[in-house]
Formats: sequence, C-alpha cells, structure tokens
Amino acid sequence: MSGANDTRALWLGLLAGTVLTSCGTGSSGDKATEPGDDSPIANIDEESIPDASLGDGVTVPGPATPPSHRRQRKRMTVPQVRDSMQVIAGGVVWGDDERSDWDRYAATLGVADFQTRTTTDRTPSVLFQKFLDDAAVHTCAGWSAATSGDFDTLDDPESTDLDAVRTGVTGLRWRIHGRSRTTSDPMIDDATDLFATVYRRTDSTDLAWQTVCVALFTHPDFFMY
Amino acid sequence: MHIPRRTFLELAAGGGLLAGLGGFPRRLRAATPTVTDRYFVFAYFQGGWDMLLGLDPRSPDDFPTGRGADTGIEPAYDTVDNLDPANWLVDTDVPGMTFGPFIGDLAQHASRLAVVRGMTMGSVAHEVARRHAFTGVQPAGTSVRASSVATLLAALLGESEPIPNLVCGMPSFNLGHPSWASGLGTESVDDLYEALSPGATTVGEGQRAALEAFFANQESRTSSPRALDIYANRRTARSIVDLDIAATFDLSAASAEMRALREVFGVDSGTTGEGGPRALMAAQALTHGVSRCVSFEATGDLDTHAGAQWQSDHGPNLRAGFDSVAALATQLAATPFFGDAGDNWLDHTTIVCLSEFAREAALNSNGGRDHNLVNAMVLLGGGIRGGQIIGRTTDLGMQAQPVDLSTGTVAASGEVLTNEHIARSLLHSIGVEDDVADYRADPVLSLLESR
Repeated sequence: MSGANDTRALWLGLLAGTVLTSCGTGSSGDKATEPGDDSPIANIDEESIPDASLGDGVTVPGPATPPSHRRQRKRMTVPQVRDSMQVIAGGVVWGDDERSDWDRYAATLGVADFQTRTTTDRTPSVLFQKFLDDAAVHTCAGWSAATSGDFDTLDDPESTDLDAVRTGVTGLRWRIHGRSRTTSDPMIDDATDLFATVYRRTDSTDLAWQTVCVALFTHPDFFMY
Repeated sequence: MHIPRRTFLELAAGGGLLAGLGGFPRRLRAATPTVTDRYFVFAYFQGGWDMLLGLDPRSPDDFPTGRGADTGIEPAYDTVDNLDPANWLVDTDVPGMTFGPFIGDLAQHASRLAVVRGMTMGSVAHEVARRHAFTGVQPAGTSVRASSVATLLAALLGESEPIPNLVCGMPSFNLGHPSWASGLGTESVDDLYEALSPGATTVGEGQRAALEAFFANQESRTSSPRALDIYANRRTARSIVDLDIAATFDLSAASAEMRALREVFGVDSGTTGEGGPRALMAAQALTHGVSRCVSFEATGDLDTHAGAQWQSDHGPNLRAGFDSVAALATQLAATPFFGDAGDNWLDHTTIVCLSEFAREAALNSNGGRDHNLVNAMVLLGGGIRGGQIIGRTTDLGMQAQPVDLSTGTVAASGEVLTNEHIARSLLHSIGVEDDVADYRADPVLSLLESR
C-alpha cells in the first residue's frame, strides 16, 4: 500500500471511530473502542512512531487492554480458596482447628468488611500467593498424613513407575484443577518431572507427591477461573 | 504499514479524535526523576480529622461555644473531655504557627513542618474521598482512575528496593504501572512479619528448588501478560521470604535495638495506638533499604458524628496519629543516611499526613461534627520547605481560599488547593516536572525546597 493510501485509510478509520464512539453506550460504540484485527486503527503500529521528540525518559505504560474476544479470568476470593482447599483435601484446615489462617489474614488479603473496605481484592497479588504457598504446603502435608499418602486419588502412592506416576498426576490434576484426564497435557509432563526430581533428591514418594500437590494448589489453574 | 509520527499527529489533531478513541493511542510520557535519593511516607488519618483540634485551630476567645451561628466556627474545646484550658492552643517555635490541643509531639518538629490550610476535597463520602486523596485524581464513583501517588512514585524511582511500595492498614492502587510497584499491603505489622517469614510448615530445599523449576517451565509456556504478572508475583513472594528480612519487622524481638525502638514509638506504652507500630515499621523499611515508599494508617476512628464520641475519642485518636508521625520523624532524623553521620534519613524522606476530608467547623445538633469538604494537610522532611503555613481558611465558616502557588499566601488570583496540587508537587519534588499522571494542576512551588 502506498503512503497516500495509508494516510487515507487512517483518516477513514479515525473518522469512523469518532462516529461510532459518539453513539453512546450501545454495541456500536463498544466496537469503536475495540477495533477488530482488520481495522485501520488496529493496524497502526505504535512502535513505528518515533519517540525522539518526546525527549529522554522512561515510558509509563497506560492501563493494559484485555483481549476483546474473551473474558479475563478472575481470581477466587479468599473464602472460595479456603473452602475449595478444605473440600479437596478432605477437611484439612490451614491453621488450627479453631480458625483457618485464611480468616486470620483476611484483612491483609483484602477481604471486604463493608465498613472501611467495600470491595474485595481479587488480584493474584504477591501476598496472596505467599499465603497460598503456606496453605498448600500445610494442606498437602496434612492431606497426605490423613490418607496414608494416597491423597484419596492414587492407586499406588509408593510406585515409582513413570506410567503409574503419570496416571496419578493426571488424577490429582483432575481433583485439584478440575481439568480433564487428557494425557497430552504438557503440564502433566512437567508435574511428572517434578515428582521424579523430588523423588531423586529425597528418596521419598510421599514427599514427591506432596510437592506435586503443592505445585497444583499454587498453580494459576487452581485459583484463577 | 509505517505511518510517520508527524503525519499521524497531524491527522489526529486535525480530526480532534484522540479523546474519543478510548485512550488510543497509548499515552506516552517522559518521566525521569532528577532527584533519586528521595523516599516517601504517607500517613493516613482515617475517618476525617478535625482541623480545629489539630492543624487549623481558632481561639475560643474569638469563637466561643454556642455562638456558632454567628461565624460558623466553634472550637468547642471546653466541651472536650479532660482538656485543660492551658492546652487549648499549642504555640510552636515558628512565629504564627499555632496548633490545636491534640497536635501532640508533632509540634516539636514545627521548623520542619509545612502546614497546608484551606484545601478543598472533591467529596465528603469516605470511600470516594480517600481514593481521591490517595491517587490525587477524583474517582469515578468509587472506581479509581489513577494509581496511588505512592505507586507512581515507586514506579518512577525504580525497583532497587525489595519491596518498593510497602503499605499497612490502607488500600493501594496500581493502574497500569509495573507490578513490582504495586503496594505490598498488610493490615498489621504482625501480618507483614508473617508474610516475610517462611510458613509454619515448610518444604525442604530440594523440593523448593524443584517447585521453582516446575513454575519456570509453566511460565515459559505462556505469553499472556496477565499470566506473566501472576508468575512474577509468585517469584516475588518467594524472593521476599528468601531475603530473610522478616526479623526487621519482628516488633516483639527481645533485642536491645528493638526495645529502644518500641520505646521511641510508644509501642509498649500504647500511647500511639496502632500508628506507633506502623510508624516503626516505616522507619525500619526505609532505613534498612527495604522500601522506597511506605504508606500506613496512622490512626483511625476519627469519624465522630456523635457528640460523646467526638468529645472523648477524636482528640486522643488524633494525637496518637500525630505522635506516631512525630516519632517517625525523630527516628529518621537520628539515623544516618546509609551510614553517613553528616546526613540523616529525614532529609531524604518526605512525610505526608493526610485525611480524606475534615470535619465541620460548627458542632452538629449532637455536639459532634459532620463531614466537611474544606481540609488541611501537613508535610515535612526531604524536599519540603518547613516552618511555614500555606493558605488560610476564612474566619467565617472556615472556607477555602485561593492561594498563590509560588508564595503560599492567600491571593484572589491564585488557586484553591486540592489533592491534585499536592500530588503534582510531590512529583515535582523529585524533578518530574511534566504532568505525567495527568493531574491537571500546577505544583505548589512554595511548598518545596528549591532544588
């Protein structure tokens, strides 16, 4: 396309965008702010705009724009994570029998109290993931102890046969992530490798399965949906 | 296709279209701080403070209780519980700088204080007003439209500290800045200690290393910015534990150093309420190189509409907050800056004390005070020209007045000060002179030390 045609296409795109944006909150307006892949607006390469005239300095990025074609995944709330872990692990509570540590850290994790905080934080923040890791380590150890190491899932928790381990990992992923028992999932490969690595280092199938359990509970596939 | 920048701008400007395109193109801003050895503390007074009891007093001789209908101003110090008339007004070493009876130890730092009086807030709804005060931008309803000023400052000043933006007891916002600049927020110092400590149940080093390798593999399989942010947060969560800095925030430690700090910050005596431990946390985070910006709730429960509550609780709570900040200033002033005995941390730390709004100058029918748009603020430390009062409220209803930004004096041709002016001033103080956050307000140059 020639430069003149580029300019013409841009003019048309910008004008179309203005008309559509000014049409209020209807679907047309929405489309105007989220152009499709074939829109002249979408085809403008921001990187192609030289920065020299802006002077030296860092660029402070604007808010990230989510993909227009699908919904962004949300993080579970603290009660959802707490209850999910307890149900999956057969009632093992992170904390003591009196009170879950999820409740103890509720304020720090941004749970709304509807007095000083009216919205619930659902970001996969640093602190959320730190406490999730603590909870997962505690829960997996307790779950293993309560089920003689089979996590209510494994047929032979002491087997080190890779096919059996792979089957066990698939079952555990199904139980924790609710993902189908497909065998062509790269994450199954990674978790099987994780089992093998920990077993090599510790000579303990129990510790190896606990580590796989921790990995699954702290994986975004567990807490994002 | 390549569109020359000049052509693009001509087209866009000619069409007047940029504003209508939902933020496209992405706003490009040049922002390089020229002052890089500056740290920030935001001390939040939750609930809406009473200016007459603290930052902007009036003499009861001129404004007697029961005559509020004449002037709209009732200090009503005589109705406050256990308040000696000798302490109604607190004079300082700075001529003309007088405070109300609950300014506490902060008055001892008068020569470092810049008191801003006669500001106006954008709302008298707590949630909206506090978000405005934290971000410097009026929210849309309760939805913030900008990052917290602390987040922005942390983003501009770099990520060399392990927790660039530490927050305790208050919300923090990040809209579009790097995730490392997000406030790491806890509700209490004890929770921060737990967050930085290994969990009660731990895994062995071999297991931990294998887990890290597993997640590195997971991260390598994704290109989604959101997923990458999640994995980055996970790495940070591990790294802050591995740094072994939890002991810095173990306020119950029996060491002589921590005992002395608890004394300075009134932790054991309880005189500073929840603000004391948090101010201690701020001092530790700064002087141990943990954080660049620290925000904490210095005091709470200031929302005293009921007369009995205002008469008994507001003043002591206010004083606890000011005492916490005063202890922080004292500690920072006494601590050599990175070991340089000729320099101290207070000279490099800007402390901002704020509340979402203030309380009415006249008592309500219950003898308490309702919300008021007109507010005050106090700043001290590095970059702040201390020993001055900027602006003034009127003697009729304590209304806001326009101020000459370069002199700080009331001037009809000036501007009524807002959160936006203060936020812009803080950026200006580190040499970011462009309006990178779109505050659309000029800096209050009289507030700042000349660079």
